[in-house]
Parts: sequence; C-alpha cells; structure tokens
Amino acid sequence: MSTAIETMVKFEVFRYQPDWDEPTYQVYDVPYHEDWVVLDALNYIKDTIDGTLTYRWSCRMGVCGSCGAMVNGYPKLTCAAFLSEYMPGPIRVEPLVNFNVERDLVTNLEGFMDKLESVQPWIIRDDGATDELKSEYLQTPAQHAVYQQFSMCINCLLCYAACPVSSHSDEFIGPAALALAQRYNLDSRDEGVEQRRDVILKDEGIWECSFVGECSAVCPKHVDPAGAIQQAKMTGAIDYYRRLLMPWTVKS
Amino acid sequence: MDGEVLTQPLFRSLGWTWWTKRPSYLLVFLRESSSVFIAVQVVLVLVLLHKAGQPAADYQAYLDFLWNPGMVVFHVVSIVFALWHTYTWFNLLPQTVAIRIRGRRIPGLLLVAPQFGGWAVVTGLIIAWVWWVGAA
Amino acid sequence: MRGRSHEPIFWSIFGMGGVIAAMFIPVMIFVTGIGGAAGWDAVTGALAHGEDGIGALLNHAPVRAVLGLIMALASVHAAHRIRHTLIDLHVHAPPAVLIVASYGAAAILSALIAIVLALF
Repeated sequence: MSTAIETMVKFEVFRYQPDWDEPTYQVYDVPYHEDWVVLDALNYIKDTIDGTLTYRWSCRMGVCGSCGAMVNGYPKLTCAAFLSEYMPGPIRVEPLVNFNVERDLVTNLEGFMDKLESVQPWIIRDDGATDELKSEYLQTPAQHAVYQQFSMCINCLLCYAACPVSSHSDEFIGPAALALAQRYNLDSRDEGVEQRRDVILKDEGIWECSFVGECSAVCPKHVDPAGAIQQAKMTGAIDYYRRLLMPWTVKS
Repeated sequence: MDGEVLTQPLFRSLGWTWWTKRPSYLLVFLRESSSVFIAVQVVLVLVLLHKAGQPAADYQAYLDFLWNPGMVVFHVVSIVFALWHTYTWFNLLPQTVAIRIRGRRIPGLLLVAPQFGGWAVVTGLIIAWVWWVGAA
Repeated sequence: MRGRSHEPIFWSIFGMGGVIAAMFIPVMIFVTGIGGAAGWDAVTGALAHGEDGIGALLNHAPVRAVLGLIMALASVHAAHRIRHTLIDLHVHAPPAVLIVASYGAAAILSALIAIVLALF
C-alpha cells in the first residue's frame, strides 16, 4: 500500500455560548502538518468540521494581537504556537483566562478597553495639542530608546491571562495598560505625567502588582510590563515622599 | 431570543491555585514564601536575645531547643528559602531600575554582580568576626 | 492626594527590608541556628553565655542597634510579602484588616526587638 497515513492531532476546544449553562470541551481530529500553528488548526476545524466555532484572528503573523488563547494552559498567540511543540497531543485550546467569555474562544475586551483609555495612552501636551500637530516634536534616538521597548505592545492581553493579580482583581489596571502608561510618561514629547498620575498611583494602578513577573515571560513582543510597573513604582514612591516632605516643590 | 442576555457572563479566573500551574509560578511563590521563614527566624533570634539576659540555665535550655535535630532541619530549610530570596532579589534589580549611559541601558550583570559581591564580603566578614569572637 | 495610595510607605520599607534580608538573613540563620548545632566550637563559643560569649558578640551598642534595625526591617519586609501573597491567594479580607494585621504584627515585633535590645 502506498497511501501515506496522515498523522492526526486531537484538539480539545473550549465551547461556550451565552445561552448555555455550562461550557464544554469539544474534541476534533485535525491532520498534523509540521508547519501548522494552532490557528491553522482552528481555521481547519471551522472550514471543514464545525462552522459554529468562534474565535478572533486577523493577521496570522503576530502583529494584530487578536488570536491569543490558552494553549495547554499557557497564554499564547495561536498564530505563533506550532503544533510540533505540542505533539503528540492532545492540544487543549481555551479562551484567555481572567476575562469574561463571550462565546467559545472569544473574550470580552470592554473592561480592558476602559482601563487602557483611563491611562490616556497618547501624547499629551501642556498646550492641549493632543489631536492635531501644532508643530514638530523632535526626538533623538536616545530619547526614543528610553520607551521603545514599552511601545511594542500589540494589546494581545496574554499578560492579563498570566497575571495572578488580574485573577482576583478586576479593578487592577493590569500589565499592558500600565506598560503603555509608562511608555508615554517616558516619552520626551509627552507632558501628561500629571494627568496620568491619579490613575497610575492608586492601589488599583501599580501598587496592586506583586511582581510575579509572568506577564513579561509570556509577552510575545518582549515588552516587559513587570519591569515597567516596578520602574513606575520607584518613580511613584519618590513622588509620594516628595509630596509628603517637600510639598512646595510640587506644582498643583 | 429577543436579544436579552440570558446568563451571567462566564468569568474564568486563573484561580488561587495559579502557583501550581507552572514551574515559573511556583518559583515565584517560593520566593514570596521565603518571607514566612524569615519572619520566624527573626522571632527565634529575638527570643535568643531575650534569653541571653536570663539565667544561664534558661539560656542553655533555649540553645538546646534551637539546636535540636528537628529545629536544625527547620534552619536548613529556612536558609535555603533565605538564599532563594537573596538570589531572586538581586536578580530582579535590573528590571526595577533602568540605568542608561549614553542612551543605552547598562547590562543587567553590572547591577547584579556587585550585589552578589557585596553579599559575599558581608557574609564572610560576619562569619570571620563571629569566629574571632568565639575563639577568643 | 484624595484617592491616592499610601502603599509607597509600605513598599519603600519593604524594599529596604528586602535588601537587608537578602544581605544578612542567611548568615544570621547560619550563625544562630546551624553553626552551633553542627558543633563548630567557635560559634558555640561566640554564642556562649557570659562576658566573653554572646556578651562579646553584642557588647557594643551600635552592633545591637544595627542588628535590631536588620531584624525590624526584615519583619516589615516579611509582613508586606505575606499580605500580598494572601491577597494573591484570593483571601477575601477587607484591605484595612490585612494592613493592620500584617504591619501591626511587624510593628509589635519591632517594638519587642527594641525593648529586648534596650534592656540588654
């Protein structure tokens, strides 16, 4: 017999719809391809086995940040999770934890969007020029390097799924949003430190973080949110004592 | 089917057992747990200092307790946790402070190595001092 | 200042205590708990009761003050970590209760350290 027998991989995919009482795991057999990632397998399932499976994806190349899921319990971009890493399987795919599940692998991002907006992740100028460029704001490569790492975030939210603090506090601003706050606070063109201060320096800002550090470990863009938060704590503590001991040096 | 949300949102938490789910979490949990051993050792030394001011028999009784085999096992476990605290604490410094020279962040090793060096000197000096006092 | 956190107070002492604990606690445990039990005469001698023993080891007031500071900072450090670890283990207690219990215990321990060393 010359027919090659296809290697199959068992997928256990988390299924849930809003009118169900309980989520369930549905098992699919997917042919193994060495160059396939988990997202390819999900697309295969949707296209050929079960069109009702719901998940987010867009770019397939680690840029859009929409395809994050728990793969065998670990937050991954499914477009970057090669099947070969999980052979012989089974491969369990679940929605990112620490979020509400809308349907199947789709999580509700509204809470995160509110947190993101609360740190005002855009360049703020004292002259109020937030949305129109009144002049060029020049920046040297060295000034750019100060925040460059923290600007690589693609909002994939793997860091929230890795964070034990986010697992118990839905008020915690969280790794990605705090890293972006730090990114703009460190930007030489930005003058919004004062405006972000109250959100960042409350308990639910940086101070709930207990530096587990797993956010930085799972980040596909090497943003190091844990480092950003610790650095913000250092700045925040200095700011606190300055206000306490030398209030006349603080502009109101 | 009239567009209303029929159920509560399904929230799936990483859960309080997060530290059992990956080795990296467990190592962090052990790092945090070092605090319990450090606190107990501070109490044990506090009692030692207190007993030092008591009659010799009381003091010796406490030393006998402190140095009984069961307690020595506890001390060994404590020192392993304390050393894990030392190791992780020194290694986390480069994430906490970003020092730049000519626009480039200095290598983490430049922040970490001096701490271990200082630790070795401090530890060596204290042991040498205790040895010197004890031998006198 | 309304709504802002006072956590920087705890965090900064926690940080100092963390450095101090990293530097001194291993050797403290070694000297008080292991060396003597292992039968090293020098350590036994250094901790022996009397003028030449623990008296000599802690004979100088500055040495006692430094030891007391190390122990007090280490206990605040430990209290902060225990508090945050309990929170991360999903212990549902009002924040104020955890703050009072953890730093309160560390404060009492620090006061006892001060009293014992003052009466030394």
